Amino acid sequence: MRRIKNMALTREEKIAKLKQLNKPEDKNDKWREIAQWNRAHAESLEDFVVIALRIAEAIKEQNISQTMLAERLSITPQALTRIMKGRQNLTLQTIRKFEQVLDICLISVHTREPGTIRHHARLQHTEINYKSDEMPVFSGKMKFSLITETVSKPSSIKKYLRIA
Amino acid sequence: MFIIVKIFEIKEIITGALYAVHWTAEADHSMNKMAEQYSDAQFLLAYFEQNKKKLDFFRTDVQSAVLKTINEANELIQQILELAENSSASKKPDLDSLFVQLHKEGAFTHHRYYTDFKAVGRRGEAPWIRIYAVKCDYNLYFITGYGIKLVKQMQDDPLLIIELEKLERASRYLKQEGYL
Repeated sequence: MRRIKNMALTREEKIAKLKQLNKPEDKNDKWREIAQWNRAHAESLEDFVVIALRIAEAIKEQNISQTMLAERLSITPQALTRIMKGRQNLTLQTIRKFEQVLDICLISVHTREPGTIRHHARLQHTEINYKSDEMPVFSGKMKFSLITETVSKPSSIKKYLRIA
Repeated sequence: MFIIVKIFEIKEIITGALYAVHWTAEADHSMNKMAEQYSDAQFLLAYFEQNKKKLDFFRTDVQSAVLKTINEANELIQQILELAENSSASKKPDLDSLFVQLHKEGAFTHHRYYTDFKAVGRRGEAPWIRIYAVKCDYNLYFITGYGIKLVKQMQDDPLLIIELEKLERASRYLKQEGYL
């Protein structure tokens, strides 16, 4: 980069001047709090946003206000705002509450067919096939999928047997 | 329309390296505002609903655009946080690798070619978040604003025209104060 001409202050002088302007007690590092929160919730960050978007979509479709929704959920409007921003670590209980009140599906847990697992788990080394109803969070539509897992260790089979 | 009055204060982001301008017409300094708005699904949803047509070029919808923006912004602020955390009195962060010249190569005839800079998300296809800054010395930057660039040229978006104006005003102020 070409050196900038006619610089009145040296780099050190500039930094000294900036230091005078920025007293430690005046620090305003909200960006840092946001960055640290994002880092702490890195694995779920996208999920919070997708859930917030799905709720926003449902509110729009059902033509209900956020105040009304907060009342129905028995939460404060501030808490709802945080959720709608995608800035709240949601509990499963809260998610289920939203699903009930808005009559939508936000997340689903894989369900297994115990009979199928028990049948295959009898074998020492086997491939376990089980069917699951997977519900993608984003569209809220049902999707049928077949999940295949290969289990080779007896301990894993025991785990499945316990579930079955 | 947003009216820029003047610089209210300059806030430290990384000691001796990165600073953010707080404009009188805005509630907070540029770095805080960027981090807050671009991590807010509700804010972004409203923004992209208003700019839905511009998304056609990117072949994406509003909801995907919100998600992309939040991921991109997070990547940028994580980069800055890492630089801040790894910097000390003896080890300064390498901001010259974060910011690139705003005006394209060959546009060096632009009167602020050597001072107007931008930071862009590096990951993913066609990053559209920008952080605008004035470079006052090697490894010394002042963030003046930010934006989502959904157009070919900044002049094609009223919000980005304001960002150009901010760069101009900040340059003038920094010159007056002896930083430039």
